Amino acid sequence: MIHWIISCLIYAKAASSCLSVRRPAIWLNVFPHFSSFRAKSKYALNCSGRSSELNKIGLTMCGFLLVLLPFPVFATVLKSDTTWSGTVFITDDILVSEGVTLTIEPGTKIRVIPAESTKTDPEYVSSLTEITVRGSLIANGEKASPVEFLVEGEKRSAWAGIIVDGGKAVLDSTIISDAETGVYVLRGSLVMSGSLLKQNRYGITVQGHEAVARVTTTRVEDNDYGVFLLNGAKIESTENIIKENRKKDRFTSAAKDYHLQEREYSAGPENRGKSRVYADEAMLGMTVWQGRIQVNGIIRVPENSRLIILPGTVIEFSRKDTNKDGIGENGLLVQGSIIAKGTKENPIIFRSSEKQGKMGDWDSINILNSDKGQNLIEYCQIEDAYRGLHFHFSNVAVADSVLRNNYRGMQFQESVVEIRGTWFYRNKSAFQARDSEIIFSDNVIYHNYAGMNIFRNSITLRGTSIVNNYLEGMRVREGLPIVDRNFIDGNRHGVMVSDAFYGEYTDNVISHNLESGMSLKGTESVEISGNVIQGNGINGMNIQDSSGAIQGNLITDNAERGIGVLSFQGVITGNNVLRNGLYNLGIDGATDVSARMNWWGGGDVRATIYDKEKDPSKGRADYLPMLDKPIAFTWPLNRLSADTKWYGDVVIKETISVDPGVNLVISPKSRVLFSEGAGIAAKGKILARGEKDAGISFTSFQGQGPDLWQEILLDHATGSEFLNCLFENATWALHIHFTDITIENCTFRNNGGGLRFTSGPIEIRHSLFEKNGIGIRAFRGTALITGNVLTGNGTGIFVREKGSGLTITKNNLFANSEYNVRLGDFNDEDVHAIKNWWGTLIPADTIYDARREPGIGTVLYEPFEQQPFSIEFSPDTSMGQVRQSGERGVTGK
Amino acid sequence: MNRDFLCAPVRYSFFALLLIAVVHVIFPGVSALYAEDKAVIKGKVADVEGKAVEGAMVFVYASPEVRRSADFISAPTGRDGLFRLSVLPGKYWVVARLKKADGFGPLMPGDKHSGEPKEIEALPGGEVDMQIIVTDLKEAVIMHAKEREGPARLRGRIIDDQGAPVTGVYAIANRNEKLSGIPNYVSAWVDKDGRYTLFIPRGTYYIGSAIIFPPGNDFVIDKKVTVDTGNTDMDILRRIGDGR
Repeated sequence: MIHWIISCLIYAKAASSCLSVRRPAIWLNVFPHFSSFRAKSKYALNCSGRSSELNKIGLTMCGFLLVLLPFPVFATVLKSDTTWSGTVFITDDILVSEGVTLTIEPGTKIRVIPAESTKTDPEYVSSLTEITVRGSLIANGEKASPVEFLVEGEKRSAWAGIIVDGGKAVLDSTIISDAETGVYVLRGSLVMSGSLLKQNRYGITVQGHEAVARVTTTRVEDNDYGVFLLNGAKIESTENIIKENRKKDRFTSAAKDYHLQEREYSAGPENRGKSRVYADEAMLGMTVWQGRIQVNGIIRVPENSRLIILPGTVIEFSRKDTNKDGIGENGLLVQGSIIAKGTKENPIIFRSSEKQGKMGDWDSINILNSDKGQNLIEYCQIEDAYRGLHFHFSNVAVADSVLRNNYRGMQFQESVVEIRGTWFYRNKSAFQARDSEIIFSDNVIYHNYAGMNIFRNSITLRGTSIVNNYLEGMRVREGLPIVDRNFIDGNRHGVMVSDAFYGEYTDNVISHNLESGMSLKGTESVEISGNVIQGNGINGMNIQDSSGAIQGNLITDNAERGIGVLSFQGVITGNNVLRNGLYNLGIDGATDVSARMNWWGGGDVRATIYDKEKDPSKGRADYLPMLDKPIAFTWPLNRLSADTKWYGDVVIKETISVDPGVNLVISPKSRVLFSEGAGIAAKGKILARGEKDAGISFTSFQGQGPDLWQEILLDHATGSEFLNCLFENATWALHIHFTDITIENCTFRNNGGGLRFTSGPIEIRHSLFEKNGIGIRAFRGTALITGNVLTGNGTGIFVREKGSGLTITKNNLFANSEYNVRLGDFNDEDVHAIKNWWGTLIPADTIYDARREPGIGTVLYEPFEQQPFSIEFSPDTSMGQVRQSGERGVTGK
Repeated sequence: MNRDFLCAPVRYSFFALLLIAVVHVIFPGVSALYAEDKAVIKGKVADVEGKAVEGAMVFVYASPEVRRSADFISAPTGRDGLFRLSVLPGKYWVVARLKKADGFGPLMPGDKHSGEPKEIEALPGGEVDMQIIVTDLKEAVIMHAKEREGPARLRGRIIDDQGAPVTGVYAIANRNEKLSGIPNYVSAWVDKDGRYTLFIPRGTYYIGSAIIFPPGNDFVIDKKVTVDTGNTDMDILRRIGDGR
């Protein structure tokens, strides 16, 4: 009863002062017993700035509570050790702060009343009601009197569940139901025994290397999904029953972490001493900051005033947390304008002044009603804040900056904003915006809990990498989004679009997200085209209650369905949809789906489609007629930052780079078609493993002739392989530096040069070089060149320099118009070239070496062959490699 | 959280709904009587410039869920863009769609749509007159930007007298030709193509560029410009040898 009284008193206080500067605040949660009271309860608790009404309502509610309601009342942020018992109702987020223990006594029933419009404040994870544990949660349930979490009269997945974020949860004999995730361990530990998780969407999810769980004698059943282990999380599981979950009992998935080189700025050494120290202060007129600034309060820049921050300035905020909610209050409040213009050499740093700065030490750079001109944040690093940048009704440009280790990197509404070249990393959520006009280009969103959340914006989002975020990469609701040429990889969910009447999602790479690549729910006039949707952990696309056009995409290698449809009134056409784990197209609803004129990868197409034929309760896939060969797919990005597979005809319009650590796998029968001047520059691996009758060709998009495309450059790309490949029409087909590689069963034809290399070691085996200006060019290289045919070239092999590392043997080297082998002016070493057939009994006639130009080294060709080797090449019509049997020195098989 | 939404219904709804429910239970014929007097929804479908759109159809739904078969559909509009259809009285949500191809089915790229459904109340015997604008995505973006009467946006490149982009500079806009201290408005450093964007209040400015911040005396004014429109595309000249 003491609880009740105290809580009511707290409530009265809250009602009379229900206005928080930072969060419009719900101080606590009060829960009427009767549903008819709910609206009043919400009204009272959520309306700020209406203190007189709130007072009345608050006092009235107190009266009701004291008289009628035998329920405890709890604050949103638990700031001291707390015990729950009896029946507890919660309607809003509960945060168990660091250092605080929430103990739940046996037999306690926690009834969650879903708050439909709970927003996601930066310190929380979900938009649904959640219990976030950064301290300790101890649920001391007993077999006969368990602790029980459930939703009060509402549907499944109506609350978020228990989220362990840096704390620990010890749950004995606990029943959790109706949650999005019963227990979600993002960071920290879970010890659970004798418990039951039922009727949740996910039973238990453990994610990341910093999350561990020990679960014993627990039942996880009747959820959509049972136990998810993501991103290398550890679980010790004994004597559990994990069964009869509707979609999956267990799921383990890990995204490859590409270890991006995070942009980081540091303060210059000249900024050691403090230039100025500020407390709460209003800065009228124009103020210029430089050097090192200490802020011990809230600095206000009034309307018509300007704050100019010069390059190299360091602004440090002390931690002041008067309400003990774990979040600092010092910061900037700009109602005039701010120009923080750093340079690459002298960036501006905003950070905590604490010795061990941590997330939430200070509030934010708040910009309010500043839309007359442009505020500028450039070459700035903003860290340790509650919200790094936060603005309303303002006009802001952010360029080449870093927002890291903030609860939320950036949040704004009703603003005009341009953001480019900026990194967001290690924030709980990176970016949230609504009702704004946004240009968002060439940014990186990496290693946050949540990536982008954009609601009702007019946004152009381009050239951005959204990678390795724990939750969704991008969530879009309503608005006018143009989303193109982005890279969205390794997030839990890639792109989630809902309730949108417009939208273009074109030329993006959406890959390796742990669950879905792209989800559409409630969309209408939405265009999805030219995207790569590949290698996602469950489905490539999920579609529900949507229409629109899905065309010209490459949808492959997703673990379950390429496209999973619950209901869709649009068209799916002109896509390459193949090699998806269960089905290329899966229909789980009752309506038919139009999916004509797609390429399904050949073979038994019917088997790759799940529809009415397999389950009469499902809709029918209208997939005939279908394409019998792939559409030519233009690769949308000029950088491969994730493992990638190419199928069919892939058009390369600009040179594509392959990052170190990345594997590019090119499938048999593929054709890589290069536009003029295009090529590939790989520091990762290219694995082009063609097959005897299913080769791979690298050729020009324009037609036939040398120099129509650039080259494939392998630089420190060890492990690359090229088997059964055709290279034609390039300036230099293969250009290899410092790479250990084998080239085998390949044809180099009609190129300015076939293959050039430095270093090595390289093995070139059983390949044909013909009609190239130069077949092979070696420069300070180590190579074994054997079993090849080099004919019809200007020069068969040209040794530019340091040729002693070459072994050229058992090849047919003949009929090259200038020389079969030529040594360059700078090559002063002998070249080993015994046991080749030279097409003549006087090989020296076809060799340019010291015999013609003293001092340049000699080709050691003796002994040599009198007859050609019989070297056979497989015919492959796709490569145009059919040769007539019996042609001199070369035979078709 | 939308607090207005949460706050609004408390004052009115309960007794009103109770009264309506009682009337409907006790006098079920009342609703049927109302239903007999049809309402009319009419109007014009136009494009972003207000020109009549031919061939559009207006879809009327009895719920906000409009991604389903409509309850009423107009005939395609004629050259005058006009439509008219009779409906039972009630609350409706209306959208217009323009398809290039004949017939029904999903919108394809290039087709047009009126966006969020418009909520109307069609009273018995009454007429609802409405103008509906259909757009594709890009038109909707432009229209949305026009509604936001904010500062003007200057954008373009900073180029040298050969027309080549200049890098390592930024744009400035100042109310006076002579600059003392910090310019009134400064852009971010240009990108590799010399591009800048600068939002400024409408008015007259001296536009130029600088290569250090703050610029001190090291800036170049290119021109005097009066900005009175929302978007102005303008290159800024910085001759080779200008400034430092």
